Amino acid sequence: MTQNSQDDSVDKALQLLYRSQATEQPSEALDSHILAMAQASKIHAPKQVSFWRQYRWPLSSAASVLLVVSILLLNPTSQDPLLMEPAFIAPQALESQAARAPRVMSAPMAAPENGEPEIVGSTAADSNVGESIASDASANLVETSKMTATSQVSTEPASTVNDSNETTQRHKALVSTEGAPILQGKSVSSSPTILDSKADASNVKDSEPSAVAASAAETREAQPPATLKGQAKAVISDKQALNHLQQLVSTEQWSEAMVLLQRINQQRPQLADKTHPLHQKWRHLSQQIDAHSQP
Amino acid sequence: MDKVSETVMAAEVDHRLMQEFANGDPRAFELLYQKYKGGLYRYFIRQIGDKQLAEDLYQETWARVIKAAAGYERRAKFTTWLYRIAHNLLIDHVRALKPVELFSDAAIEGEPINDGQPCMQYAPEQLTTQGQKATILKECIALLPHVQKEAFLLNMEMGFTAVVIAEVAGAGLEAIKSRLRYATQSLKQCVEGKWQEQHYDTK
Repeated sequence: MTQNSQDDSVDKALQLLYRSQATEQPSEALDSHILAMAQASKIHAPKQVSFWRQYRWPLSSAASVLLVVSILLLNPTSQDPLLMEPAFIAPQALESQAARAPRVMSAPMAAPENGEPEIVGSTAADSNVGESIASDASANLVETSKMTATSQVSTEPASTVNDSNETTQRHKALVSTEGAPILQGKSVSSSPTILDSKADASNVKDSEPSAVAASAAETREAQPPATLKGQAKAVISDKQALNHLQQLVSTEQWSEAMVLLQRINQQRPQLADKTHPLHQKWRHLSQQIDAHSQP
Repeated sequence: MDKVSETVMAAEVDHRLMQEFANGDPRAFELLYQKYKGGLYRYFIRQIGDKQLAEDLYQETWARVIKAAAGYERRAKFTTWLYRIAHNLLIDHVRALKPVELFSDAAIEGEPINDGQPCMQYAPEQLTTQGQKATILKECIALLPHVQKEAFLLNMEMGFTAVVIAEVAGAGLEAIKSRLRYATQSLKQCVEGKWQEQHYDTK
């Protein structure tokens, strides 16, 4: 205790002695030089950052999100009318089909001698609407090439295996959905030889809007099922309906043909009108089906 | 107002002045400079025999303060930061200029300073007792080992505690306490010895 107080007094004495002689100061020149350095230093107050610049990233992100949401909310079905445009759909459908069967697209345009179109790469998962196009085209081919309705020649996409079974399944699907085929999640298929042929080209050009709409629906079919909800049912023309019916007759699927004929008669009474351009064809097919339906 | 409150207030003022200088007010720097120029100048002058080198380091220290002002952040007291810069500059130059020639770093801490050297010549009759002892003290400080000298100067000039000195010098707290204790004892012995020696010689 005594030692500490003695040390403290010694420290205080030393401090007094030190302070009494601690008088050295830098020269005026040195002071001026250092102060001049401070004056010359380019220290500026940080600029006030504006609100927009300070929060530019959050604001731009929020604006982008708002824009996208607004577009989606204001135009929920903006794609549908566009896709329904014939000018948009037809090439797209053709491209889609062409992409699926590149080998067939390059096949010769002339029909094989045996009447069976050479089809390579046709998938068994043909869709209804694609089928309708194919059927329509095949009908045109039949008409233009003067082929008989009973011949086995068909430009129907025929897989190399189980052609008849596949055709049957397709026509069953057609019959079940005739007039208003509900789109199903089948992949798009093509009728390659038809697409290659002139008849197909003319068919595509002359195709009615309903067929085009069906083709568009076919194109959308490749989308996830969720997008199919709420889509309009495809409309098939009288001519297409009769073409389906004619195919059933030509393949001698009389039961399906009968069901389809009944449905056509219900939904298309105008075909019974004699002035209707397809009346003769309808009557001819009806007579054929009636002849085979009677025991 | 107690000493702690005064220290806190002084630190706040220093910090505010530094911020004002960082915001472009050179007058704030001038206030800081006037406040601490003497102590910092003596810190260098007392440790380095070469006055020109001491002034260069002193100027460089303030230059670094000016340069670092834009990015100044309050991580420590301004004085601690200032003397930390000074200490680092001193160490760098001591290493570059062969410190053995400048400082008695090789001296073992606690070893009594060599008071066999002749004292500064002065006319005793012209000085008071206090003045004479102050002059002797100045001589004795110059004879201290560097680490003890630095700790003693920081304590005397700025009133730094052992904790702050340890922060400035980058040394342990106990080492700084030891340096301060040995420095005080050595200076007391040196001053008393030289005083008696001069008094005896005069008689």
